[in-house]
Amino acid sequence: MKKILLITAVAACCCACVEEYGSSLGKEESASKLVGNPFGEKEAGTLLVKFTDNAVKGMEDGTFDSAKVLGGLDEVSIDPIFPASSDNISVSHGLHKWHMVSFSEEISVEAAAEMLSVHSEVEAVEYNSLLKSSHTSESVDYTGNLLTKSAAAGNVFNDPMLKDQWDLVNDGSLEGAVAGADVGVKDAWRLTAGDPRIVVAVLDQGIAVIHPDLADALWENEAEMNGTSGVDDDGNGYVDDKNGYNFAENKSKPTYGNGSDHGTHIAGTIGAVNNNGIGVSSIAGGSGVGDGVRLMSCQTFQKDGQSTSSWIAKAFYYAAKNGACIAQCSYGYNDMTGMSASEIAAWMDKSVEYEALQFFLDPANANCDALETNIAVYSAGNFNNPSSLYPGAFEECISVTAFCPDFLPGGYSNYGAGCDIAAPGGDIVEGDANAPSMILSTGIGRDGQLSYVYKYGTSMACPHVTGVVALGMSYALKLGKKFSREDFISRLLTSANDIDGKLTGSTSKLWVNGNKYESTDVFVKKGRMGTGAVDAWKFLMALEGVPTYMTVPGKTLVIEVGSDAYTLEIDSACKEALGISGTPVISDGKIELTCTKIGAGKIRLKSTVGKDEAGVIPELEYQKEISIVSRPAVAQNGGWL
Amino acid sequence: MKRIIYITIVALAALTGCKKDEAPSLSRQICGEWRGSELAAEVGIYISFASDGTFELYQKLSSEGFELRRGKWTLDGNVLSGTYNDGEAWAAAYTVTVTGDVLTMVSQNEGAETGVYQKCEIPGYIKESSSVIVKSL
Repeated sequence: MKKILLITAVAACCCACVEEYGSSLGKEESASKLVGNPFGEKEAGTLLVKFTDNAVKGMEDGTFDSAKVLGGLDEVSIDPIFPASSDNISVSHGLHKWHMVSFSEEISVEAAAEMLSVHSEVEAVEYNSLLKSSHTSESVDYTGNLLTKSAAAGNVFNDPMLKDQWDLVNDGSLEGAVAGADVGVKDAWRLTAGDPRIVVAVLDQGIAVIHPDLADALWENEAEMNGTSGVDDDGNGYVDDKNGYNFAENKSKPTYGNGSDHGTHIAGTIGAVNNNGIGVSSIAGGSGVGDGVRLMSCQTFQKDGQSTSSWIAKAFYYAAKNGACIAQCSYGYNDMTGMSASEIAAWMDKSVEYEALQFFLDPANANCDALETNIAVYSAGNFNNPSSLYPGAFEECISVTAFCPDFLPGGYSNYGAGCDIAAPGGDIVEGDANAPSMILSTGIGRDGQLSYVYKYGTSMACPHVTGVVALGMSYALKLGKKFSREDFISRLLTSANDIDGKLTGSTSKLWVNGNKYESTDVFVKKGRMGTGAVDAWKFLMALEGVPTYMTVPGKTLVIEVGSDAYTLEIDSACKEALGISGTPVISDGKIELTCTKIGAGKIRLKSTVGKDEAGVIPELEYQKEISIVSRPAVAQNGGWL
Repeated sequence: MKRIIYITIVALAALTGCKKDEAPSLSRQICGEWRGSELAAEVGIYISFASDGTFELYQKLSSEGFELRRGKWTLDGNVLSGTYNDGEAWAAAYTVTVTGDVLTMVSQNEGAETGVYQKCEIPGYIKESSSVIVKSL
């Protein structure tokens, strides 16, 4: 689609001038076209505009009346947000209609939005919201003692820093740490350590593509790798996008540095090359034979941590089109929680970012054979607020809270409404000596060199869940299984470890600002950190199959489910097959039932997570299946034979 | 040299559970590794019957992963029975048939439960990741 450049001599005017430019809609109707977060910061001089099909067609054949629609703006240009978006799937999501309208900053975006929204050629007008990454600027250089390869051989991999990665393998040796307060990946690595068919798009600051622990883990665009410099060899709308694209600066190469290594740190947690004898280990970085997941650098944040809705939207589209099956998103809108339910719903329905997210999640764009859709994982936010940031709070997304080496919730971590699962995020510290309680990963040191650094936050927790999801997909491929998104996420959420049990008693230790102290603050987070702490091993086991309980006719079977919060469903076919009369109930975290016949059936436990007392943020529904088999006889020791 | 080989073969035959005078054909066919393909429930079951009369049962019923139970098996005619290494007998004896790569086991109790097993090689990751429930004596 050709770019339309309109320089108009008409002076910029505010909404009072709207009538002059041929409005065709009433005030109420035009106001309903305004989408986006009215409370947040917006980029000046740009709007994201969704035109009608006719208007788009007119832009293509030259009949679009730009003077009528855009006449009130100075120095106007229109660019399609998504390149090459005329395919059926893109069109079905309306992505071909979205354009970036740029204009003189002398007119406010609010006035310009009102001006555009009155025209029948316009379906929606969205502010180009400014986003901030869910992270703090602090990072601490790694200064630990590196073991030699042989000395480190006791670990699963020979990466010398693995001994300092409590988030992966927490043996409790760190002061104040609790053994097992980790991501549960050590055992999971025996089953799989990744699969290069799994591509993870990291929507963040750029990945340091020349980092020695990341260079061999990058997604490679073969056409561009073997193509001509300066040419869009694969025709995807982006030139020289060898390992992804830098949407924030509209160029192929990612940018990064000390203090702007957020994406590099996150990439390392997910997929730094394992067992290569250097640096860190990662959750899904393979076993040292090129079998790790692949990382796609989708740079949506500038070096100062700033981003816009349009860059995010472009990145989702690019990720879907170029083979990514997971979107790793450690960011959120700070001010969305100030919106009413109806305003959020409007944003959901109409925003370009949401429509691009929906495009990414469309089954037609699924990029992993083991899953019917792609997956998006978000950080919950670092404001100690009782709700997740958006977009993570959306039902379609996984929102991740953070816990510390002692299994307690991060003092900074958001919790409650919209939050789905917890992962290691590290602790707040002041002073380098306390850095080991943070998350160690690839980064850029204070001297500007490619190195390893500590960071903390839900930004760091998020890639742990992303890595486990990537492992799960890798394992599902290995098993030859295929899951629906709902089933896959349900198995992830129900395989989490309980962390609420750590919050018993009158007080509990907290690590804040590098000091341990007694506090009761943490108790407000009890039951509100999601379903629990992500566990890679249990998740892989959940993908293997549903848990099965054996019994014999006439004997009472007791099934421990751990909570009364579930709703139990036993359909009539199951009751008939097993000869169960009445409707069993859950009491004290147990189900007791008696089968009278030989047979098999499944019961379902349903629940929700991320409950919002105000009813604004939707809860995420999930379920767990349990198989019951009533056999003629069962060995006392539980053996199958 | 020939004499040594002859003696070795005789000695091996005397030690194995696959002796010719004890239902040799069926016993020999049972020896090997099997995966449960049609069972009473969707569970992960792998069994290895060794020629020395021992078995390894890998089963995944819980959400914790595969468990390994070991024990000894015997074949009397076409009736297969066994005992776990903790001394507990199998819940039932089974009438077995082997057709090609398929082992069918029908329990000799009122329910006559049928299990079908496919010959396979037990994946290494299952052997490596299984937790031992009934240890070797």
